[in-house]
Amino acid sequence: MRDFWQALRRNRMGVIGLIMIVLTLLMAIFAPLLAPYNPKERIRVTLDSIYAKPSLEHPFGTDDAGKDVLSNFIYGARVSLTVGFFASFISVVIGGTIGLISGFFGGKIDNLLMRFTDIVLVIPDLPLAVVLVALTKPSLMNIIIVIGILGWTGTARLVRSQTISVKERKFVLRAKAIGAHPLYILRNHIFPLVLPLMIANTVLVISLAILNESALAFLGLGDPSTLSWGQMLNFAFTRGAMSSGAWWALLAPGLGIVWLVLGCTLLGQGFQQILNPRLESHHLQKSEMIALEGSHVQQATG
Amino acid sequence: MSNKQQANLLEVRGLTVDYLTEKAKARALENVSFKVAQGSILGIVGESGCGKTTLMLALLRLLPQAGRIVAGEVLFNGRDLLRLSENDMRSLRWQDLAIIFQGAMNALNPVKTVEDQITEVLLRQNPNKTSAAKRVDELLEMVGIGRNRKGQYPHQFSGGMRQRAMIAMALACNPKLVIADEPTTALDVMVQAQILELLLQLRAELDLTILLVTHDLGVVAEVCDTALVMYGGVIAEHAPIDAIFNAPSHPYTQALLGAFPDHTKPKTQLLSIPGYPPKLDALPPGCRFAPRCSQVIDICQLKTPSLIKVSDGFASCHLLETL
Amino acid sequence: MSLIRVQNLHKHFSLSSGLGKNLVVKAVDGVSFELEKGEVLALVGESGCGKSTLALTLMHLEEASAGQVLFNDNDITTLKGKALKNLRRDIQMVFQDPYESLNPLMTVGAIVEEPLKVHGLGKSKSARQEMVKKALEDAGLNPAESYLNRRPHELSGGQRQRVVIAAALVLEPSLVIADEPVSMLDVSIRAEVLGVLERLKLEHSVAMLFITHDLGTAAHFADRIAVMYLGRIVELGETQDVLENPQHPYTKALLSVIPVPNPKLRRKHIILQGDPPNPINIPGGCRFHPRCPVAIPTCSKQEVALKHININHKAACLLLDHSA
Repeated sequence: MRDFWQALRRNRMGVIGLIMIVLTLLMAIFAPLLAPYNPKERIRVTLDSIYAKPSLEHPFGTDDAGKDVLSNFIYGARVSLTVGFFASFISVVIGGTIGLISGFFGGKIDNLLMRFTDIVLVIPDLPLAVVLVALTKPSLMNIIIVIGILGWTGTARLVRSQTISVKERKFVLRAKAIGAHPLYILRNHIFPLVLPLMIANTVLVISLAILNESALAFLGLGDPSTLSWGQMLNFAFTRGAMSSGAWWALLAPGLGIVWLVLGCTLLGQGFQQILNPRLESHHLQKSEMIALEGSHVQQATG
Repeated sequence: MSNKQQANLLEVRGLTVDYLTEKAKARALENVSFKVAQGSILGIVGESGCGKTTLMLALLRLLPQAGRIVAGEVLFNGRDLLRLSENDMRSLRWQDLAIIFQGAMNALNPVKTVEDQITEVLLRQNPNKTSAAKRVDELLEMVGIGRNRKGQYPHQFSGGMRQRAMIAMALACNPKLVIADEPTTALDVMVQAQILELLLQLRAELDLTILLVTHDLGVVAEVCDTALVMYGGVIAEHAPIDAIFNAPSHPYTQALLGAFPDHTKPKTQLLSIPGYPPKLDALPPGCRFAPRCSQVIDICQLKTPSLIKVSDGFASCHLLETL
Repeated sequence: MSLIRVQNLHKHFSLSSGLGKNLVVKAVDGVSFELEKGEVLALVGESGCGKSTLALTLMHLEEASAGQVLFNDNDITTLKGKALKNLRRDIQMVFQDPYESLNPLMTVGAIVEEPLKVHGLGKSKSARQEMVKKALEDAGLNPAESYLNRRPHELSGGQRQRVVIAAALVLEPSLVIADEPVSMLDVSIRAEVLGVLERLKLEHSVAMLFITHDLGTAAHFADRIAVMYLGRIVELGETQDVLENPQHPYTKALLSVIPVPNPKLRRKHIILQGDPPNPINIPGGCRFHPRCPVAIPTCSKQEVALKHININHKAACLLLDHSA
């Protein structure tokens, strides 16, 4: 584990991604302290306060209801992050389970599960999500569940291939040879070695979930009782921000989404580079160590 | 003088190599000196981490980035290879010095036919395509690959055939010196015998000088004329193989022979060497073999022994100095 | 009574070539031998001769296609469930690659304890701990305490192989199948690891099937040697007998090309040309006849079985009849 953090510290893109995510997290946690106004507070709207330009009072301007965009933005991070974390948790649990079972047992089970995965994979996510959310009540819970149960296919395939490669290793054969039950082997020998990759994958799935949530909200299928970044975009778009030239109503949530998705992607890829030895080989530090043990390696292969 | 230079195709003097890592400097080779006579086969033997691969790479100036040659001379036909420009060295590498790597599968390009790969080497030296094509046929015949198989890809070859293709490639430009790094390690004994026989036959036909890097003492005894036994980055013993195998001077050579299986002596006890080979970043003070040596005396832990002349060759051991 | 008696064991794999043709790989094709308590039998052959498949089949890690394996006179070929699990206590395996056969995330202590947990042995954690320590010490890892909390990557190849051996012997098996246990180790380390295995045999009367491509190592370690070629045993006898008086032309060729660390013994090599044959197309008649330097026309027509040369030495070659 210590090695892992050391490797991460050397991965500049991963560190940048981690910082980006942590900053967003801090902003969401301390929203009440950071936001100049409370978005839930009722305010009296005057004509001047609708789509007011950025000013000292409202650094990011105001929206169609005369509310402070900066405050909405800060509180909106909470919704986006909540959806991202919980939806990706659902995805990774489903995908991980399917991937592990499929890779470990192989044969007919594998065939069945992978065909099912392929079917889910080819159905376009967003239209199906739109239909599902529209059929159920568009609450935050429903959005999380819908995004979660549509986003697991990538995880399933990744975990399956990793499971297959771990399964082929000799210590698994050795465990079989001492008479260990298949489920015991799965739990004690395969899962712990697949887990790091699953965690790395989770970070990438979070970014997908956030994007999906934004898209749903933008299409008007967000939870009306909460205000996510996607919804801010939706309101600005449908309520005349464009025609009145109020770019500030779009800029902050748009950049927020890009920022968070980029942060997750960088960190997730950083994790995968560290965990996946094939991508790791370009790492200078590692190649030096190999050079030092050159003759070791060379004999070990003989 | 000129007479002597003809006798020794390669002379290495005081070669010292360091590996630099973030934290420390590891000495991979220390003060390695030896001569190789024209037309002879020198076996370089030792266990993991003894520096035999580093030595081979240093001679070719192909050390990995972290490796540095900090001292020494490598005289090839009287020219110091370490002073050549990178360009001169590169052209020398295929023309005069050739390499046969261990894993032929990794050393060959998987997406090119064997014929194309050998042609590529030839064209680099001489851009005449018809003469190159003729030479490819000649080379393949020399190493025993049927003409009908030259258009095939490496994965269609067996391990032995791939190693033959590697040898053909190495011989493409009529090198004088061939450095073979564990050329038979991954092969079955029967295929190993075929390849070793091929090397011996080529040596006789082409008057090749061969450096054979291996961990297998049996292979050394079968094909080499002299042997260099390495331990922890230094030469333990360098002598003609009769001396190495029948009257070894260095305690490490003696111990290694006791540990090596020999099917002509069934049911005899194999003798192990206690402990483990030293790691390059944690070398013991004094003689590097001292911690595992059964004949260790006080001075061994204090002072590094130097390579001295013994009856038929050279060895670095304090016991031999006091005699 | 033999500890294990293998009778006409077969292991065939079918490969579908995609064109509707089914290729059959006859990896093990009629192998019979017996192994006594406390005896070491070396199974020697080139790659592709089926020796590793034979090991996996005996271990029940592959299902036998035909034939029988009697362990203590009980047929174990068709065991399942609980009975199979109990059998696993008696037969343990040591694999070739000590870098691959240990779970990198587990400590040495946990690795050696695992078989005990799987079989519900040892009354308490501390009782198991004692058994683990004893196994580690038996495998030559002293003092055992200093290894318990280490992980495989902190150990050298020789130490790892000792951990694998400790994890096998903690169950006190009566048979250990060792598949190339020392071929990846340095020469100076090999003798020690073989010494550990030898002590197992002498002190615990463990029988061993020692699978190797290296007749040299087999010569020092085995009581008997079986030479395998294309899925069959072609010669079987006491170590000294086989090495000094080989009967099968394949054994003779093999012995002639194994490098001997003695330059005065440069012998005439009988080098068989070509590559080790493929177990998909097994030649008819004697399966060695296409490469045999002394083959006669009958060899391609007539199957050969193992014949006794003396009470303990058998070989499968037609010429033996002719010379007799």
